Amino acid sequence: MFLSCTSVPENVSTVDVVPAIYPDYTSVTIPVGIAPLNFAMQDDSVTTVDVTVSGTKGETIHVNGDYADFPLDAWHSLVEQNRGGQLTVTVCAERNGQWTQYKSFPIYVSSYTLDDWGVTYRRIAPSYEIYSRMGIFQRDLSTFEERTLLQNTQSPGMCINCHTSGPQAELFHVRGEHGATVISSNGKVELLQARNDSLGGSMVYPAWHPGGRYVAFSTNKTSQMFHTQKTKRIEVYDSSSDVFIYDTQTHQILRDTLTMRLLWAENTPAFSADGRWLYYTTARRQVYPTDYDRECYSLCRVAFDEKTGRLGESVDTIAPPPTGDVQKDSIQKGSITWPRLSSDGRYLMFTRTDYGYFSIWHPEADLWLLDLQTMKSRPLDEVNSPRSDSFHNWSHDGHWFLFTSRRDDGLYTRLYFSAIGPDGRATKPFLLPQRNPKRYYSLSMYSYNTPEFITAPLHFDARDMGRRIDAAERVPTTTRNMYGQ
Amino acid sequence: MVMKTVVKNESKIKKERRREWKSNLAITVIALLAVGVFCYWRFSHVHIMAAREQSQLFLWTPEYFTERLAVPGGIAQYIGEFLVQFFVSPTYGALIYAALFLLSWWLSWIILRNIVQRAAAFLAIFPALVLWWLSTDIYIPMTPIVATVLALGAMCLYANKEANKKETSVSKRAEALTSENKTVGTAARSSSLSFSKQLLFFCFIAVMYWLIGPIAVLLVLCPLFSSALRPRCLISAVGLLVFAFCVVGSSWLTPYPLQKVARGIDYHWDMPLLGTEQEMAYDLLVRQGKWAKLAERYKHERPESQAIQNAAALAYFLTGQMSEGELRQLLSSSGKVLNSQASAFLISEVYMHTGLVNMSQRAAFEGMEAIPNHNKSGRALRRLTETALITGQTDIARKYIGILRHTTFYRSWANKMLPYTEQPDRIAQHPTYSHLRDVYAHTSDAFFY
Repeated sequence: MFLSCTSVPENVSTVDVVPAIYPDYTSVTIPVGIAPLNFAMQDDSVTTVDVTVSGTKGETIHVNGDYADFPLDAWHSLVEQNRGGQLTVTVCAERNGQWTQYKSFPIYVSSYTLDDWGVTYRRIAPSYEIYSRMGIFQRDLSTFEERTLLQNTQSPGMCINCHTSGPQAELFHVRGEHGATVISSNGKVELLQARNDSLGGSMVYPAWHPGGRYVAFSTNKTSQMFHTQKTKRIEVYDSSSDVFIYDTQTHQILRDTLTMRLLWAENTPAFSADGRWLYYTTARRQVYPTDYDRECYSLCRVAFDEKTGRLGESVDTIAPPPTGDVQKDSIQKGSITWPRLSSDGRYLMFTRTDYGYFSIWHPEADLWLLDLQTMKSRPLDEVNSPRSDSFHNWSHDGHWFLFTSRRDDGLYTRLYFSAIGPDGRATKPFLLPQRNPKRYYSLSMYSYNTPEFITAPLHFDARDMGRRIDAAERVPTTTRNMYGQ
Repeated sequence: MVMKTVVKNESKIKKERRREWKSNLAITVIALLAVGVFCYWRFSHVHIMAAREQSQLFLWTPEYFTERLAVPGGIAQYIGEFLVQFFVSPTYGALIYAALFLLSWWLSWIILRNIVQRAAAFLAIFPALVLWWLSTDIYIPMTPIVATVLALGAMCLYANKEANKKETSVSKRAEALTSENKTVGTAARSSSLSFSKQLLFFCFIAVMYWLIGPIAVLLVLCPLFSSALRPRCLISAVGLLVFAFCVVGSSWLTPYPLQKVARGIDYHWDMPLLGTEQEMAYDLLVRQGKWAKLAERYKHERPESQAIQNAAALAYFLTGQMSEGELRQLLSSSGKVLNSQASAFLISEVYMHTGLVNMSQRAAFEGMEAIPNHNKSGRALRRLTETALITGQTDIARKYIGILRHTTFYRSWANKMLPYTEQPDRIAQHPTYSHLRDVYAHTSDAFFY
C-alpha cells in the first residue's frame, strides 16, 4: 500500500516573470470545448507545480502535481463559463524544496466557436526515403482521445498519404505494391488505379470540390536530393507536375491544357468555398539539380463550372513570380505553395518559401494571409516562427486554422491552432493539447502531417480496407480532354 | 524369502543407479551443449547479436510497456527486447542464449517426464536445439523464442508430477467417497470443482495467448499429462476452439491482418531490409575499428556489397594502403548503398569517419527506418545525436538524449552528451566532434541522392 503525498506551496518567493512552461500556452487564445491545456515547467528540476486557473467570468480550477493536469469536466465548465473572456493562470513551482510563484499569465477564450469535432492527420517519421510505421488518425479536440483510422501495418509495406476529407467523403493514397487511390463517398468505397498511363503518373495532392462530385488533383513526378553540408536535409522537387479534375461519378480524369502546360509545373490545387474557382500554383520548370533554387511558384486561379466540370477560358495570376531584385512587397520574392481558402471566402492562406513548394523541409517557410477583398497579402508574423511553418487548413466555420510547424526542435512537425480575428490578426497559436504534453512530445518520434479539421468522427473499417488494399481489384479511370470543347 | 528380498533390493538398487547414471549423462550432454551454444554466439556470431541489439530501443517507460501489451504476444516481445538490450555485451548475449537453451531443455524435461518417463531428459534436448536453430535466423527475433519458453513454463504448471500424484489421490478419494456414499451433493461438488478447473484452463489459454502470442496453442496439449483436465480429447478440442476464437477476435482489436496475427505479430520479420550476414560482420569490424582485419578479410572475400566496398576503401586508407583522393573517388553515392539496415549502418560509420556528417546522419536515419518491426534503434539515435550536435541542431540532440536516458546502456553516454546541448560551444573542445564540425563548416555543399 503506497500513500501519495502532494507538496503544497510554503514560504513562497515571488518573481515578476511569466513561467517558462511547455507547451507555451501563455497568452494563447482557445475555443470553447478544447481539451485541457495541460502543461509542465520547461525546467526539469521542478518537482511539483501548483496551478490555479481563474476565469474573469467565474469559476476556478486548482491542480497540484508534477505537471498541470486539469480535470476534463472542470476545464470545460471553466472555459464555457468564460467564453469571450479571459482565464488567469497562476503557477507556483517547487525546485529543491523551494517554492516560487510566477507572474500570472492569461489564456483568452475566443467568442468564436470551433464547430469542428476534431482533426485528422498522418503520423510519420521525418525520414528520407525509407519509411517505417505510419498511419492516419483522428483526434477528438475536446478530449485527448485519438483513434486509428488506418495504419500501414494493416497491409505490410504500404505507404499511406495525402488523406483529405470532403463533403461526406474521404480520400487517401496508398503507395507501394498494392497502390491505389481510395475514395470513400456516401458510404461507398472505391479503390482507383494508382496510376493512369495517359497522365504519366499518379494522382497526388487532392482538393475536394465543395459539391462533393469533383476532386482536383495534381500529378507529380517527385524526386529528392540531399544536402551534404547545409542544415537543410532534403530538397523535394518535381521533374514535372500538372493539375486536373477528377469526376467521381464518371471516373473520368478531365484534362485541360490551361493547367497542364508544357514547360510549366502546376501544383497544389484548392477550390474556393463556393466552388466557383480553382486555385493552384505554377512555376516554370527548371533544370535540376543546378537550378533547384530558381523554381518559384506563383498563385493562379481559373473559373470552374460545377455543372459541366469545365475550367474557364483564362487563368488569373493572383501573386506573380519574382521579377528580379526584391521589391517593397516582399511577396514578389519567393515561392507560394498550399493555397487554402477560408469557408467565408474572405481569406486565402498560403505558405511562402524562398523557392520550391515542399515547404516542410524549408526552415524559412512561413504562413501568409491574402485578403481576397483587398487583394493585399502579409506574413502572419504573429504566428510564424524562425523554423518551418507550413501545411495549413481552415476550420469549417472559417475562423480557426491549424498548421504544422517545426518550431519545437526543427525536425519533428507538430500541430498548432490559431484564429483570425475581425481585425484580420491571428491569435498566438497553441500546440495540440495532450494529457502529459512534455512527456508525450519529448518521447514521440513521429511528425504530424497533412492535418485537417473534420466535423464529425469518421467511421472506418480498417480491416476491410486492409483486405481491399491487398486485393488486386481496382476501378479503372479514363481520361477526357476538356480543351477544344 | 530373505534371499528373494535381497535379490529384489539389489535389482532395485541397480535400476536406480542406472537411472541416475543416465540422468547424469543427460545433464552432462546438455551442459556441454549449453557451452557450445555460448561459444557459438560469443566467438562465432557476435555480429548477429550486434545486429539484433541495434534493431531496437528498449525504454524503461510505461508507454513502451503499454505499447507492447496492446497486441498479442506483446509481453514475449517486451521480455525478448529486455534480453536483447544486453547484447551490447557479446558475453552477456551469449550467456543469455545459453541460459535460454538450458531453460527450454529443463522445462521440456518437466513436461516430457509425465509422458515419456525414461528418455525425457534426452528427448527434451530436441526442443532446445530447435529453439537455438531458430534463433540463428536473423529474421526471427527473440519474441518467438521467449514466447516458446514461456509457453513451456505455462505447460509445466499442469505437468507437475507431485501435484498430479496428489491430484490423483484426492480425485481417487473423491471418487471413492462418491461411490461409497452416493450422495448427489458430494458428486456435484466434485463435478463443479472439475468444471471450474477446466474453465480456468480455458481462460488461461486466452490470457497466455494475449501475453505470448500464437505459440500458446501448445497449451492445448496439457490434458495429455494433466489429470485435472479430463476428458483429454474434449478439453484439448475446446481449448483449441478457445485459442482460435482468441486469434480471430484479436485481429479485430489490432491494426494487423488476420494472417499476421495468426502467425504471430513479432514472430517473424517479413520485410527483407535487414541486410546480409556478411554486411553485419563487416559492420561490426568497422564499429570495433579493426581496420587491418577488415582489409585482410576483404582481400579474401571480395564481396559485392557496395557498403562493404566503401568500408574496405576506408580500411585501406586508414592502414596506409590508399590515398585520401582515391578514397573520395571510391565512396559511392548513398542512393546505391542504402538498400538495407546493415548497409545503412555500415555506411553511416564510413561517412562519419570521412567527415560527411550529413550523409552519415541520413544513413543512420534510413537504417533505423528499415527495422522490419518498426522499432527504433539505440545505435541510430546515438549517431543522430552526434550528427545533430556537430551540425548545430541542438534541440534535436537534446530530444534524442532525453530518449536515450530512458535506456539501460545508452544512458550514461547520453548524460555525458547533455552538457553539449546546454553549452553548444563546448563541441569545440571535443577531440572528434570539433574536427568534424570544422570539416562540416568549411566544405562546400553538394547534393547526394
